[in-house]
Amino acid sequence: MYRIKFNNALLGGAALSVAMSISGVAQAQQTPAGTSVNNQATVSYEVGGTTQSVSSNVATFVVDKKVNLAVAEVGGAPTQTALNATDQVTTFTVTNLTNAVQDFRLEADQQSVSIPLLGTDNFNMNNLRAFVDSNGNGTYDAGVDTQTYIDELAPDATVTVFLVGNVPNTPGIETAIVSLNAIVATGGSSGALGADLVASSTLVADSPSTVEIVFADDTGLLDQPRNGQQRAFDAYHISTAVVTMVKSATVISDPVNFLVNPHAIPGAVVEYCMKVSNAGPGTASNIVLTDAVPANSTFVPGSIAVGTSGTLGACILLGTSEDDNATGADETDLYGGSFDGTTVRATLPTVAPLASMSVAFRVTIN
Amino acid sequence: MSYLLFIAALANAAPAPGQVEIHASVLAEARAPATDGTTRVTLVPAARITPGDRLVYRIEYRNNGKQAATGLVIANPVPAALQYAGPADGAPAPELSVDGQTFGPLSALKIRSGTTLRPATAADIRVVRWRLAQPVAAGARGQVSFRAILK
Repeated sequence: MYRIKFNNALLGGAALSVAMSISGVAQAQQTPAGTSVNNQATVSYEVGGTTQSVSSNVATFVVDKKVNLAVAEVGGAPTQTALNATDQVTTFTVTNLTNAVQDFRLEADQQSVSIPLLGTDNFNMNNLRAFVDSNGNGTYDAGVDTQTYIDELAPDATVTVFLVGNVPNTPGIETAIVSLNAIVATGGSSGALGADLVASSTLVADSPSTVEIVFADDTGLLDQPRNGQQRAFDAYHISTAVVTMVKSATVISDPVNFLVNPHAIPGAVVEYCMKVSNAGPGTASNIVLTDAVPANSTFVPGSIAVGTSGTLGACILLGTSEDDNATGADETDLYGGSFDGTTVRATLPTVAPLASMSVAFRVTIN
Repeated sequence: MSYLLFIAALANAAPAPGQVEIHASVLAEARAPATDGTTRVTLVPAARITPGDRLVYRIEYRNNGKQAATGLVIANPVPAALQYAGPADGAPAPELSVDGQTFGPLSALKIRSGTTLRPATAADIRVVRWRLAQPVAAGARGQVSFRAILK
């Protein structure tokens, strides 16, 4: 009889706790920092046939701040870009795994490490900056996504961050490896970046009634464990060949001065030189040059030459002479060249990165 | 409001401050590698607690009266932020409940979801309870405890 009564009394208390817990459970996965966790036990007993019930003190502690974050690169592949391109974007996400709202300071870093999936770094981006995807559309919008730090990120929330930079106009560059370093900062003041969090010293006795800061972030490449920071890597990659051509004209001889300081007078022979340069990093292939013979000049038959570029005024260093028709073995002896009556045409199978090839032909001034 | 009334009624019904006194305390499990390669778990005051940490709740009881107390039933609601993780080392296993109505071992508990019943898991436990079979003699004391993980 008594036991039944005890049970009922206990069930009353238990039912109370169930009602409270249901409303409190459907929150974030982690218990928010600053939550007071209270526990109170009850005991029922009988003495000399009398039922008594008493509650204990409340055992309590405050949940401390467990600082953690995740930074990830989006896409899994380098951003393809080109020489001299501006506002080139690599994309990352930052997730707040802390059990509290935090700010995050963002650092856009140039790296010189080599990462197998990204390539070997051999240049740095210019004016590399980090911007938050303020409008949340996953795409960098210049002038719209201008926030340079993450403001008030809720627990378990993720935000997209862009690294934006300009590619220098330097021949030969191929891969720039960059990284985004996110540093957990103090939250709570909307519209302003808080100070970097500092872990509570483990040498100081902690208090059950205050929120201590405990770093719980993992280690990573170039990242120390439990430092309140995480880093992820991405790269810019220039995959295309950048081919440029420069055309120049040199007077070879004239009917008066012959080869000594010739002038461009009627009857003079002029050599046109077209220099094709490849700034890389890819190899340019199947290049076809066409150039109409200028007015008031006459093509010199058999004057086409194609080969590697010369120096000190010489157009060709090492090449082949081409006849004027478009057939025969001379069209496939590495290079090709022809003249159809109005236009000079030359073919180059490949131009290697940072190399140049030239095409020369001569005309007589009418 | 009804809860408040209920508590008030309970307080009024209870006789003068009891002979049996209970005291609840919360401790944290601190893990440290021992020289023999194992991990040594020690209990420290619950000060630096973050989600995922393991806690031990200890409930000490003492009979301050001059007569033996019988039929001791100690009930402890599991705080909402905690997940029950079994009895503490050396402590008797409590009876468990997911609803405060039915108590038993975890394997006997079911959760109703819609029209079906599924077995309860440790995450569903809302109340733990110990029923002491032996009377607590005058002046005697003892303790029960359970482990929990901060969600």
